Amino acid sequence: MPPESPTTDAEGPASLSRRRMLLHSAAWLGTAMTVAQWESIARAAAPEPPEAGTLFLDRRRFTTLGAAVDVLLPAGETPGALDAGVDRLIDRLLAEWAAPERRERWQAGLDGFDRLAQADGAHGFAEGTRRQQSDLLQRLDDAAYADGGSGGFYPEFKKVALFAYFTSEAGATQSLRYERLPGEYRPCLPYTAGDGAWFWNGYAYEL
Amino acid sequence: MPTNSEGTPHFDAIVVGSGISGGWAAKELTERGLKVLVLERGREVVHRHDYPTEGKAAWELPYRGQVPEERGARDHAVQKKCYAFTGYTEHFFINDRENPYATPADAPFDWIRGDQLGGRSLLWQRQCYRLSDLDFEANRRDGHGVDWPIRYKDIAPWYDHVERFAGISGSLEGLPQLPDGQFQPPYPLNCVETEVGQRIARQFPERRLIIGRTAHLTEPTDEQRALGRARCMNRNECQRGCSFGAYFSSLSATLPAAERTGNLTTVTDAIVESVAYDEASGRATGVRIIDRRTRARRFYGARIVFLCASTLGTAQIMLNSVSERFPNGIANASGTLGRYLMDHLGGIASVGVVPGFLDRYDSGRRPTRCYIPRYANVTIQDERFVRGYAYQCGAERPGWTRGPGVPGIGTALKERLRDPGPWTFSVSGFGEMLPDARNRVWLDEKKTDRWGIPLLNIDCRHRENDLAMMAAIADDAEAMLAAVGLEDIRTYRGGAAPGLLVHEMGTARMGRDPATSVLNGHSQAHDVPNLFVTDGAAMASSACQNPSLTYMAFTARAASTAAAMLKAGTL
Repeated sequence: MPPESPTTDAEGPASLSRRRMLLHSAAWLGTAMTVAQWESIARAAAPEPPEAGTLFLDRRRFTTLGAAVDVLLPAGETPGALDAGVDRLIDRLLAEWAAPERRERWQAGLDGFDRLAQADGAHGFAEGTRRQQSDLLQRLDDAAYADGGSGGFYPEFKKVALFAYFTSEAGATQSLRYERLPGEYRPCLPYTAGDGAWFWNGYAYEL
Repeated sequence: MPTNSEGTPHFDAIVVGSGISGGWAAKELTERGLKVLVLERGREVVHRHDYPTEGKAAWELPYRGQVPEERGARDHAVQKKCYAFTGYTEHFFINDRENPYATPADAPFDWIRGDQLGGRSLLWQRQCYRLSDLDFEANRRDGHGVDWPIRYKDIAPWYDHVERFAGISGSLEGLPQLPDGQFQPPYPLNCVETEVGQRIARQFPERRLIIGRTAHLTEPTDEQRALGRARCMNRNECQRGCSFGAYFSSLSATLPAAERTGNLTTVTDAIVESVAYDEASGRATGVRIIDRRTRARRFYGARIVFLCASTLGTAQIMLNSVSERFPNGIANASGTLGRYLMDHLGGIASVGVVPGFLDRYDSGRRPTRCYIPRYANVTIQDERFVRGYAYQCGAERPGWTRGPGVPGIGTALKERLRDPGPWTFSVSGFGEMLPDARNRVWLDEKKTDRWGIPLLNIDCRHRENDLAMMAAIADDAEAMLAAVGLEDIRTYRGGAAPGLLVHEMGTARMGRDPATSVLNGHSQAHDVPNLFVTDGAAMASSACQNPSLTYMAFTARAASTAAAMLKAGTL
């Protein structure tokens, strides 16, 4: 077994070798892994740093997106969509994850938000007043939940924005609660409004 | 590696496949002193090393557990229909483009596969239920399929044996149609499940709501600890792999047990093309394989062969094993090989809101739900169909995923989604599909895969009794939820295509008569005494219980028989 690396850089190659070593030693000894061992391995796996600039959306649409998710999920007692990087994640999903049809839907959909804002007298969605932005989204939301639903881009916008928010670290751990390693199942606990739902991202969730 | 006089590798036993059945065959045969070769067509997966998404939070994956859309559509057109297929697990599912099969245009069959060391034992839902004599006598009673050559008393000790080693949590209920087993402590019901269960029992005396029986360690034994397995941590992210070894898989349990005997050789990336047969001795002599990476062909010899390649994988190998005596597939004198394919009836669910209990919530992610064992045609005869069904069920307060259904924007929406929603209770049916000769697989005469192996054609359809039962599953579910006071009930009646329940069974069925079945009651081919089939292919009927536990028990029993026969010189 190699000696433990003296480097403590949690994102460098040293952590990888430390992780591998822990895995190797646990497997090699044929012993049950302890919670402490497992958590030390889990901590060594660090998230990627955020990137600068946009990956897919042009500046105008990215700005519209940012304004719209900020109205949908504003900062308050808990972090808002922008704190959670919802606009950046959606840009990344569109660049790397989405099929061409979805990319086109989002470009057209964000342009549509701008056009609706222009009908309200603003230069674009992002340039409207907070009141105008909020009224506009509320109208779209009302239409989406009316009998039969409006279809169109808004329901997809809302679904993806909620997904991006609640699967972010800020959304999952500050708006909701997350346990990486619950340990126990407790079947019946008292609950008071505001305690927070548990975050989980288990089975396939269709966007 | 032992060799015979010609220098080709020679083993006491070859086990084809390393999933739930193959792992058990390896363990039981090596522990009886046999030199065993396990052949796995997929890549090597090393327990703990090769679980790249284990424990990762959503934000630690680039797409938060979503599979890129174009890649999913191109490479996983079938696999992505499986509930367990996500960005966390896609590396444990096959690439559909590289692994084609054929179905009629009007009869889809979703073949869910995981080709790697450990197979689908990494991916399974881990529910473990014994069959009873209600199931083993069903074919004889109503005339569909052939009579099982065994009864519950024959397999009960083997259920005990595999449950003790695998580690099954569950509660003792004393139900004749769902025998109790050797259980570790059960997971608890939450308060709404307890309440709904009491209401169901009051309204429907023949129905019971019990906690799911699941292959998770809640109180590991010394034997399990010695293999490096530990108690379940309630993450419910099992299909990513579990370094605690808390759920049963070949990688956490049976293969390490086989390994420590010193009698196990494992070769991965070895696609078994066919079983070799010697006309003179009337025995299988070994298997022919194609190296997945180099395309080199090799032969491995052995005194006995266990086929554990999964139902359809085993059928494909057997059909492709032709000889003068068996021009239509090895051990197929009866002509039933490839026929009587089944899957459970399902994809039918009902969900409703349970009023109240808003000051109650649970914590931790219990890795099982609850179960309503079969009741139809147990004590109360149902005129609509023969056989029966069970429901998996449970109560939960949905969290953020209900968001798209919640009207509103801004702070009000955000605050509302911070709290869990009202309690919901849902049931999902698992019905018995009848064995039917028309539901079958056969090899394509022209098309082959990239290895030159003929493509498998699958024609499997829900027939009259199946469709009547599927309607009843939905009707009963909806009526039951209404009767126990649920609101806003929604019922999903569509049903899944065959295959998607991932309980495919049959094609090399057991039976008493060599003229109408492939295997005897010891999973031994009637026509080729040193050939054993112990995966789902052996099933003569499907019952409605999740079948993996039964494959484990059949495999352990067959291994014991085979080893004894080898020792006695009768093979």
